[in-house]
Amino acid sequence: MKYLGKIKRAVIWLLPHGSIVLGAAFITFWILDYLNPMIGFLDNAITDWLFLAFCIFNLLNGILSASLVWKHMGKKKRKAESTESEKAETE
Amino acid sequence: MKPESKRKKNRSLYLKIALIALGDLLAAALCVGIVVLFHYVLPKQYEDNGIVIAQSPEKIADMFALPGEEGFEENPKAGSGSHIEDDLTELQENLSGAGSGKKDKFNTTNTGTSMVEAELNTEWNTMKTTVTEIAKKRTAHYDLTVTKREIGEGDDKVTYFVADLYVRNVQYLRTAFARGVYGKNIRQFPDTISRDNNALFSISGDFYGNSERGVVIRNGVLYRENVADADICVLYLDGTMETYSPSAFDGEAVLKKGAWQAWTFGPQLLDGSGAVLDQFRTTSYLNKENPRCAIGYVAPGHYMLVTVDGRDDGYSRGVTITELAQIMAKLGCQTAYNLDGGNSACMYYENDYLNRLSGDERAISDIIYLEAEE
Repeated sequence: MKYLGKIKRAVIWLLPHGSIVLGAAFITFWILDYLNPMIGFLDNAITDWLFLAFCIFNLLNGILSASLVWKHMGKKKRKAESTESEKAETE
Repeated sequence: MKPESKRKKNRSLYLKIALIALGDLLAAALCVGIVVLFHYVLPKQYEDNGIVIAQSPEKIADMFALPGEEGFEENPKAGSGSHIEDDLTELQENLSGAGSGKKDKFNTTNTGTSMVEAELNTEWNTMKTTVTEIAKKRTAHYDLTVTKREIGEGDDKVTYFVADLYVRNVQYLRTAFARGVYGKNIRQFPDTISRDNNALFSISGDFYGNSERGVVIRNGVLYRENVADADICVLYLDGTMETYSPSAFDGEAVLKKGAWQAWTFGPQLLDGSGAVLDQFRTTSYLNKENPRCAIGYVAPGHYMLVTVDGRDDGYSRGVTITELAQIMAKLGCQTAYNLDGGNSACMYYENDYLNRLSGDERAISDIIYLEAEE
């Protein structure tokens, strides 16, 4: 369980950085491809696999962000509800 | 909290963020470096030896007469001679069996198209072109005349070399791979490839080894069949040459007609009847004035191979794609196709370059050449 938590934290830390790294790499490939499309920096087997990795990273990031937002909103809602009920009790 | 300790804390936080950002940037650079290394640098020889799609070009030998010979026509139409038609019918029957059995369909992997509008250089209409003959060779199989041409003055001057070539048969217009093998990132200097193949004359090809996509047919052998997002040029056994946009390319029909060479670089320059196209499949960056190489088709057996020098003010500024198309149209070409240019643009004749290379000699993956003959 101890290791599971560590792995979870590492994955959560790695996900946004993976997206940043691959995003920056793909912007570079796009510029290179614009300058000389014949070399096919965006159109080869390696970048095909990298693109898949980029998609997976972003998908997981999106799910993580959505769950965090959902959690945060839930917390906020519960907090607002409890303050309202406290207010009502004091009144 | 004291303001000083807060500032200290903020500073260490910024430092931490900067270090993490730097780490990400380095990782991105490493990622790009690995892709460049595997995709662009490390040579890889393909085990695929290709599929022979035009086994017997000898069968149609002596299709065309050379200038000055009996039966020579300045602009013969393809297939106008009955003996040519007979030979080709037989050959095409063989080809339809050889090609279709193994390679069923050409894969199309278009990723989008960038088109640039043609901008004609109207100043050239009133300018005089100086023409100097610099090489001439006539053998039993071909007639080659190379001229140096200059147009414009000062920083606007353009110098280019035109090889006016007549061949008896397309088999004499050959191509060669660097180190004699088909692969990726296998490169050699054009003069070395030329010497290795006993070439009298050569120009750079389409640098097929830079990419994994694009149709590659060389000397009647089909090596690669996927269609990239670039125009394609096909030289047929009947001596005709046609250029295609990726969407108009029909691989089966091309194999059936009998392709001898196919290049993927482009763009195509003329519309098939000698007129400059309105749009070119290229980017505005690549459309700038640069050294260029092109192949043009005048009539079956008659071709123009052109190398334009560039990046050298006062000698030659280079040309845009439209200007290259104008040059090819002026030479009387019906169809023309841009080949690998920039530092690759070269014209080799008898152990030396005729043109002035625009920078360091670049190792390339293929050439178009004429074999030396007595």
